Amino acid sequence: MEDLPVEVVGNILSRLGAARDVVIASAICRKWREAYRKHLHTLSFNSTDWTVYRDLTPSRLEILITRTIFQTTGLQGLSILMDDVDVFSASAVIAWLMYTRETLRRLIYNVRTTPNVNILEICGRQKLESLLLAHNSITGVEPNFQRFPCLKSLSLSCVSISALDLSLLLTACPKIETLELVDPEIAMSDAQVTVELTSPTLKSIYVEGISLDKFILEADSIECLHLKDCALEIFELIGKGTLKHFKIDDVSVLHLDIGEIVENLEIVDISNFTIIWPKFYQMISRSSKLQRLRLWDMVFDEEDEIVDLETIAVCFPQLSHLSLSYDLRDGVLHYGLQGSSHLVNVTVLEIGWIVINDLFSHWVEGLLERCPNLKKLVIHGIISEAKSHDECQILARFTSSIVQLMRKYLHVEVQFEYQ
Amino acid sequence: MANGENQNPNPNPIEATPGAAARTITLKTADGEIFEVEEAVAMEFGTVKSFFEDDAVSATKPMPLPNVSGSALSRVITYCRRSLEIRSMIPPATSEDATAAEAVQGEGDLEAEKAAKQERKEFEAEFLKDESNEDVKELILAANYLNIKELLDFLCRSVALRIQNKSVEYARKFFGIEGDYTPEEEAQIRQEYAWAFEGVDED
Repeated sequence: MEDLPVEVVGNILSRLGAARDVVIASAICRKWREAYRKHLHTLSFNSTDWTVYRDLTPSRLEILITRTIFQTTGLQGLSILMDDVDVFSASAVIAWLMYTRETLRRLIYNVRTTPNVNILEICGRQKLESLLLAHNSITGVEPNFQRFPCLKSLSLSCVSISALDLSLLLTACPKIETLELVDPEIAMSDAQVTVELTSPTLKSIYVEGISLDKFILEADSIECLHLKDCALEIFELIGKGTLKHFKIDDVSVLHLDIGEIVENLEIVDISNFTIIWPKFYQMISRSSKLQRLRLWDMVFDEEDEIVDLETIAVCFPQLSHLSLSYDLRDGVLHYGLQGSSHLVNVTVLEIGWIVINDLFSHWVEGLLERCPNLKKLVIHGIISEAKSHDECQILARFTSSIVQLMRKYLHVEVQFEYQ
Repeated sequence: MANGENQNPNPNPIEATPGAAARTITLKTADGEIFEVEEAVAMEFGTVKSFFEDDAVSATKPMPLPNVSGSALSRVITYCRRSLEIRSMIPPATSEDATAAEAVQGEGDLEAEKAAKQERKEFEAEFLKDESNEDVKELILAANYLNIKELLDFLCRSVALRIQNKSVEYARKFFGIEGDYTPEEEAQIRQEYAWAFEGVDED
């Protein structure tokens, strides 16, 4: 290893990444120290890397981080993820960002700064490709002189930002492809809480923990839309029908509009969502390329609001993966299984219950009959903590039925997942 | 090379293009061994690629590799071949050879990507299993000389994993390096970075 060129050593150190390991390795010999000082391109200070970080005060950590960063040259990736630190002082953070300004491509930072620092103003902008910011605030975005020409991926977590600044920020990133917004604090100027975002390049967006009156997203290249744990009155997607993956989990929205053109939808995943099937069906009925459909933890009020297999078979002929979990009652079972069209391309079927009842095995049987090319069956069950005698008996009966049923389908792999 | 596990309809994608003669490139190692390598694989070597792009050199003349031994080159070729195979498991955006069952484009991509990732993980775990430190070092030098980014990054990652959380002495022994600091310098480093040397695994 003595013949290793110093750049290769730099590569090894960069793969180590964790600051403490890098420092120790730099003590191996002079060449390794030179590699640390001149050829290290990735450095991280993550509280998960090393338990000793927890025992150091924020001031000591600031000193250690400053000394380590300041010995490097040309750092491209910097990660400071310290979950146990309450706050870092602004002067230290400013120093780190200014020192790496010219070369930084990836920045991860999740510690509150006091007094508040406008990270976006200070960090390197010219080369930045990916930014993950948490527990800080963003104010006064000026897209005219604060542009991020290379930024592709932006993730904001527990960040306080105004709706206007968020919208301006997106326009300051002409190449952005991925946006993640988790638990933001959106300051609003007037009574109605509205967020309007526009990006011609955005491909994927993930929003979690947001509560708004109106959320409008205009994205002509969007492919993935994922909403989780949101409360919205109106959500509107304006685009060119490029959406491929649509996922909503535990979201309440009164008016949902994903556009007229839905032909490119490949994956639809809805869970914990109150939908009215006819309305929803109207939204996705033209998605004939659909490959995966997941309707999970759904509750239907009326019988005719139920998802029925006939509609699914006819509208989605290319469906290969079907996941259904809802509250089964007599009417649901009967209506849901009506018709006789087969789902010829379905190879994976996932079925779940929230509360088990005797109808479940009939449901499984009915579904199996409609999927002639099935290869895998996954049964998801929730076992309540207080297992009543009744529940145990139902589960026992269910198990027997499945064993018997699967004798007819020996080629199908069966998996059980109980929670 | 095991081909059976993957679901790729073309188990030997390198030789799969019908009609096209599999061009080979001849390489000669430092210890005089001659290797005939498929063009696709040889082009993974940045050094070889630029050699044949710059010069209108006949592909039959053996290209000399004075810094690479036969054993190292053999391992490198194995890696690049396998890597190409795994990469071809993911169908490109416009796949001409999609069969009726695979006509569902996006689904093929998702599953294929997952399968490819898994194959790569297993393959990489096996690749360095029986290699000694000296062998790994030789491979690194070969990958660096031949300018094969993917292999070099993989080797550096593996080496990094082996010295993670270990002491300076362990790392020195692992690499066969003698420390060249004076005792004063060494003491100074340990004092300046005292925080890093706490609780180190003296394995």
